[in-house]
Amino acid sequence: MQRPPHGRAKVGRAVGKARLPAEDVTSLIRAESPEPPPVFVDPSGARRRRLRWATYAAGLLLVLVLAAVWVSQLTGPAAPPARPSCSAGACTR
Amino acid sequence: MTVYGGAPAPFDPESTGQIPAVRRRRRVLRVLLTLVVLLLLGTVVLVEVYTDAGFSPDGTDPRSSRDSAVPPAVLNGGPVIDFSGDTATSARMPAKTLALTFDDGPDPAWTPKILDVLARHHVPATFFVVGSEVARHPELARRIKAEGHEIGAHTFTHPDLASLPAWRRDLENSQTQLAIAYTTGRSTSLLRPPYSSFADALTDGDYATVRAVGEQGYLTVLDDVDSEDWKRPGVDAIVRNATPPNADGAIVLFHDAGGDRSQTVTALDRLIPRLQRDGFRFTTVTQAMGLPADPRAGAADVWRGRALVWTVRAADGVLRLLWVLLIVAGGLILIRTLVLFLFAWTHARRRRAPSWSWGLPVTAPVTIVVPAYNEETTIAPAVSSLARSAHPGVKVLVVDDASTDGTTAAVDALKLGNVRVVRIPSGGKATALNTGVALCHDDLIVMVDADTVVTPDAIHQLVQPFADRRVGAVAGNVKVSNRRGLLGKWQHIEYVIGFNLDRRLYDTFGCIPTIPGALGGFRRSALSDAGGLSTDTLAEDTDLTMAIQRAGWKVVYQESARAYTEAPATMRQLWRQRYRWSYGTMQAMWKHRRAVLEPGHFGRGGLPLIAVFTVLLPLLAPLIDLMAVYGVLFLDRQVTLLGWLAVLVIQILTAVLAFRLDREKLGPLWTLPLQQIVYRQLMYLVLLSSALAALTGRRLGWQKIRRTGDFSSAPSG
Repeated sequence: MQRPPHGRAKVGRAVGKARLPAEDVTSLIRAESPEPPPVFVDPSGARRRRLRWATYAAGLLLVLVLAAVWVSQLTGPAAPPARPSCSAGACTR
Repeated sequence: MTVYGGAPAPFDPESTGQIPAVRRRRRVLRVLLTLVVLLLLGTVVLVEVYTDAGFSPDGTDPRSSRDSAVPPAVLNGGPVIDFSGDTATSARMPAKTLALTFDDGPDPAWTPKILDVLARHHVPATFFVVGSEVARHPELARRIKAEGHEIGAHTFTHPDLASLPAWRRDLENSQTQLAIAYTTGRSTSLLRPPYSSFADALTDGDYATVRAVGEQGYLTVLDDVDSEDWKRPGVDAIVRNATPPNADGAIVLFHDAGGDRSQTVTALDRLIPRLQRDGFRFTTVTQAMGLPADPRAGAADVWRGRALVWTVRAADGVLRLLWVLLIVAGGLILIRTLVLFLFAWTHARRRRAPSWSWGLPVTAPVTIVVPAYNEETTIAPAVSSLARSAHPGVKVLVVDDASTDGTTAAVDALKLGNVRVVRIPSGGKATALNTGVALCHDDLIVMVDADTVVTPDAIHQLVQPFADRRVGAVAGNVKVSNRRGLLGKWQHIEYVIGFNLDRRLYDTFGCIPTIPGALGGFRRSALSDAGGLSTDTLAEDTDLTMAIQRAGWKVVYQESARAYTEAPATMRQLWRQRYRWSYGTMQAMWKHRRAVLEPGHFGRGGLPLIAVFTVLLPLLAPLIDLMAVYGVLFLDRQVTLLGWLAVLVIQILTAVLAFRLDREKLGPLWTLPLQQIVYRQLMYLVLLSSALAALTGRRLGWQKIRRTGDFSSAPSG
């Protein structure tokens, strides 16, 4: 009967040798150039954040104003003022 | 052109936009914001449509004449009808007493003139105002009140009340009450329904309306003498019509709006003194009826009126702004078309003249630099067409930007003697081109995209302008090679117009904004003056072109140097390509914005011209479609469609000219009307979203286009 293959074994320091990639024969060319930061890009994201909050604020304000307008116009008709009735003799000569 | 990909953008660890929960939340907020904007536009459209709903002056509406439901007491009674008691009560004016009434105002042209006449003769009157006009001219309503006249309601938008449902009728009257409350601080109990006349002309429908509003508390005021001034019958006729037939009192009907009312003004000036001489007394309706003067409006009504008036004015303002912008855009398009026609035509004629020459023939050796990233499918036809160019000593240098497919192998398999391949680590198109320029030693360098096939003499033609020592760079004529589908045809049309008319125009003015990456020739010294290609914009070709011109070199267009490039074949790829172009163009313009202050042709004239025609005008162009939809739905349909067709005709003429100048077949132009409906709107959206990306400072990655290798329209051989 075979035992499952597990257990421990101690080995010494393993040493291997290989050529460094830098010494390899290659057609690759390394191009070094300092890259300027891309135009418009805001790495900190601060501009984006500010704009986002400004947009949300404007949106909220717009919602409130529009809601106020709609509510003000749809909350029941404005009635004409009370006045004496003509049948009570007000309008007749 | 410049449909070059490269390694994807690096993962940005500082952006919170990558977190799924944040992304979801932002998507919801974006949808909400869109809804708010739609609600705003909806309100504006609703208000405008509501307040301009087909106004026609009094008395022009054909009516039915059934009056079986109207009580005889009302039919034969006076012009003032009250329902506040149990039954309808009619009242007449006292003898020798006149109430002058003016309908449909206030009107900025005629109401002041009528008020002047009334003031001259010290006569009070009653103005039945249209609420939406009160909102638009609050100062006139205030003046009417301040000069001792009376204001009655004549609905908000002048509809035929009898034909409206009850809720709409109540809304009309309520909003008129609110508008009067805010502008004058008073309320009114007088109401005159539009299109009404004498009591004996009341129909069943009218009577139902009079009854309904009467039960709400309004006193309906009709008239018993009609001046018929809305017919403009002449001053004498108006005076005759408005004179009461006997010594009875009367309510006399005039109009102070709805067209030219000069006859009314003159007639009043003659009529009033004559009636005063005859012993008539002038008064307002409420005074004649012995009713108390209009009471103050409640604070709530004043506030609601304020909201209403400001909404109407804001909606008017928004619509007016849109019209002004539309007119500006239309004007610019027209000017641009005329200028294009004139200059492109002249440019073509000058170039075709037998006497035209750039100078001595240029035969100096040329190196063609081809940057490539995963171009396995297209690189072989591209490179072989380039290597077989009819120019002495032409060399091709393929710069493989760390492709992961068989790009290099595909070139090697061609086994062409004048083709060299170098591989560089991933660095983007600009770096690849710079490396290529550094690795060759010819004075003339041509840059061609790896998806582009050239005609045999294209390279030779392209370098001819270098005979002129001042020319630093030359733009070639790029055409779409895959024109099979609708998308291909649309892009073909766009390329022909863009390269023929626009570039000829820019060439005339000496301000070519872009040398296409698909085919461009450069003098080495111009490239070094510009500092090579830079990596800080996504449109390195536009950026380089601007830099070369800023350095003082001339950039010209050589239409006889033709290249065929593979255009994006799906909407998604097209979107990505255009997104990069428009974002990159904006980047390049912003980067070179200081050129405007520098001496020289490009900064002073060219850059602002490019900014107006490539960013500002396309951003305004959607208005043409938006207003066309608005016009077709709510305004004069025929005029709107004619206007829209006129724009289409202008575009067709432009396209035909471009195709003729480039000696292209006119066949694909049948897709032009379709282009107006899908393609144009897609381009707006691209421009809009890339402008937003620029504003917010988002980082855009490089996008790779999937190639099919379809060069069906390119000349074979």
